[in-house]
Amino acid sequence: MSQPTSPPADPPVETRPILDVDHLTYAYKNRVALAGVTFSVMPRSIHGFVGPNGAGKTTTLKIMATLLRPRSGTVRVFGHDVVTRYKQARRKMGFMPDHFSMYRQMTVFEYLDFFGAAYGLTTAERDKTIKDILSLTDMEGRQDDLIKGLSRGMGQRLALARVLVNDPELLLLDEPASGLDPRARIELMEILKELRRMGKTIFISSHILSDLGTLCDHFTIIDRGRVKFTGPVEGLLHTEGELESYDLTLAEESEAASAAVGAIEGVREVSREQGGPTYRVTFDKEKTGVGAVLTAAIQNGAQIVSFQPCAAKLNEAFMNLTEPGVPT
Amino acid sequence: MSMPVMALFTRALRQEARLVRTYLIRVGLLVFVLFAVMSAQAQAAFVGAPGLMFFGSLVMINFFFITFVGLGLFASAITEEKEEMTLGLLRMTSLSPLAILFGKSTSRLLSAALLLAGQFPFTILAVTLGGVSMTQILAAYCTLLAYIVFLANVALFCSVICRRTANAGGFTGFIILAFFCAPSLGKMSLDGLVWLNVISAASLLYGLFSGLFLLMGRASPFDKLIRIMRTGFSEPAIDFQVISNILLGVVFFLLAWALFDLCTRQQKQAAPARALLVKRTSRLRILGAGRAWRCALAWKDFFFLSGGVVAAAIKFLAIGLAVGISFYIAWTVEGGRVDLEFAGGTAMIVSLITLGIELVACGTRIFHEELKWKTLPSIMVLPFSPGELAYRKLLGCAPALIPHLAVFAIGVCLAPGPFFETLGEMLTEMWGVVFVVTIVLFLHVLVYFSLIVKRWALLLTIGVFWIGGMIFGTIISILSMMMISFGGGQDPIAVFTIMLFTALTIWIHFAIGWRLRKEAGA
Repeated sequence: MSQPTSPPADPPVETRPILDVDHLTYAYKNRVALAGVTFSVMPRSIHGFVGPNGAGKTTTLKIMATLLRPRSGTVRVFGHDVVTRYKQARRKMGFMPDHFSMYRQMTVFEYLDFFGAAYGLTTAERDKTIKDILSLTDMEGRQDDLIKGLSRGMGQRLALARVLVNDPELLLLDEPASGLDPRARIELMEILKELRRMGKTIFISSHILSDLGTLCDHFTIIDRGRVKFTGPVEGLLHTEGELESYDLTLAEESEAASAAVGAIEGVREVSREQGGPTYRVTFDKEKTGVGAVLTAAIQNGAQIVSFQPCAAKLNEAFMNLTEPGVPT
Repeated sequence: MSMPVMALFTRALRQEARLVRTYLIRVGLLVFVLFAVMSAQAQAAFVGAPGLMFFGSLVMINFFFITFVGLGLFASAITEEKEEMTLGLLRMTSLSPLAILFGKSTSRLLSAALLLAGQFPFTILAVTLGGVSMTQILAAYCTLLAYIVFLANVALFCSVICRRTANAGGFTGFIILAFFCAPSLGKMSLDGLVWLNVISAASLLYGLFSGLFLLMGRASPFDKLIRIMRTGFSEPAIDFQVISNILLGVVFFLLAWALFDLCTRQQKQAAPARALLVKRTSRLRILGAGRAWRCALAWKDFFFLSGGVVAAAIKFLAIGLAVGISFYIAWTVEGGRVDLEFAGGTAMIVSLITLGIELVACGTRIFHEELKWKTLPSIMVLPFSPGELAYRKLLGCAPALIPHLAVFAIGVCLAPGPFFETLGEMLTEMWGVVFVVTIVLFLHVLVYFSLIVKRWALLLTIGVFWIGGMIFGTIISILSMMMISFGGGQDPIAVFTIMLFTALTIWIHFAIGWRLRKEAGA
């Protein structure tokens, strides 16, 4: 007698995507901007959205943020359709556009207070929230400054602070690092990492692959309105073949650790990068993995600062997946 | 020949010559002139001197059109470059300040003058209709051309010294208002001082100022146009008004040129004005914006669009002052024979005018400012529908009306009789309702246009209502005559008008929501 079959159980909440984009299409007059874009975003991930100029990144983000209506297809944020249940969707997410759009005549505090009130927070809640997000974005001393007096970097921090006012679970960031100097960019990336640690899901569009390489665990690459790749960063690098490259940054130079990693079966190359104790480790993923590399380094006394897929490989993957030329 | 000083000027003219819009405007204007000539011809059987009537209305329309354009088109010549942060780029080229002034302002002046000159041959048709002579037509066009030169250069001067178009427009308006009102106000004040025995009518001071005000009055194009419209006008076409207006225009141009470098040396980041709002760190923080209200959008628009409590108090005082001045003029003219009821009536009329100005200002800016400073997407992602968003913003404009309504209320207290009498008439007569519905429609059209054009929403709205009013007015007149000839009243026509305007308002209401969504995603 066969066992009675039970209906398949729902996957645990944590493994369900919180953002589902399904066969999204959009056109500006006769020019197709999106042609069946499909991908999903997992909770508590930082999802990079990459593509050349005119690929459809901003259009996708605007549809996700409920600012544009798709021609066809659906976008669901926590199960809420962004067209039919846009108010519920808006409460769950925060959108930071690619341009510096703020009420420049307001002070930092007034600006955040305004958005807090618009989301229905009480005065006491606003006080606490504003204090927390100013602390997170390192703007505590600037709350009475006029926005028009802020630098570009500070402006981007404030834009991010505004997005956080209603404590959204999903952040949609369109080119948050554009126009920032290297220090401001690094500081912004640190804030984003902190937000992930706090449990936020971040969907970030950017041109700066080196930043995304250190930040994102998932990627979607889009070109001419079509998704060329979507999935975990490892999958993106796998598309290159069987070899994977990682940048291993140590607290200080360690020949022993370098030699030990190089001795692992499957490791093809360990090369020292210029400008610091960073080693590029290239290995055959069929024969070894990141665990073995890290273990070998630690066992040889190395203090690991970071271990991440190398940006150069991301660049190569991006170049291989996208077509040359600007879409017309 | 290529001259660096004329480079931008010729480029602007070439650019305008290539625009289809330029020709459409000219054709539209000529069609209107021909339509007006035909209407005058049709009325020839009923009215005397139809040519003069047609010509008079055309000249006055031109005069007000020039004034409105001057406050907008000419006043934005340099400020638009400042607001878009492109003036610095222009200055980095080999273009001299003179070339920039010629290119940005004089080209606009020439376009406006061409628009006026284009009408001239068609206006001569008025002579054939009777009641107007060639001398009058020539004199009127010379007057208007000189006025354009004066106005364009006053606006250019304001555009050079102000950072924002709104301020430049306001400052130009103030100068023009002073130019028109100073002679009569000055003379009245002088007579008032004589009446109070402060100075003697035979004193040198009185003679000096009387002469000055007389001269200023003769420079007024409005007064000149009134004189031209009188039968038997025989003054020369080029007189003191024409020469003085052109000279003043040249003086303002030279001033703008002299101050150009000083006022544009530093390129400051364009930002909306905070006006008189103090920060919460100030001792006077009670006059600031305070904490955001539960209806945050209303709070934002009340304080950061309308100016908040301080601006409201200033407006209240300014309206009070305007009422006081109006009352004083009437008191001087009537030799003290005016009562409190008259003061109440003055307060009501003045406050209704300022209320209209405030409503128009709110309508023009309520969404346009969000577009201009690219802040619309940030509020469009708030958890409200576009309709809710619009109503919450409207709510923010409502407190800005309080000063006007307060003065109106004082007027009602002083003159309850005339108020209730007029109110009763408005409620019993259908045309009172038509008036209110028309204003609501006007504001809706204004808001809609402010979403689709970068500038001139008010001008466009006035133009649409003017042309629409002429066509609709003609149809209504014919219908009225038909109704009366069949022994009926005019109420059905009024009801039809109310229904039509209400339907249009509802349609535009939804169009605004659609446009807001489109702009937010653009």
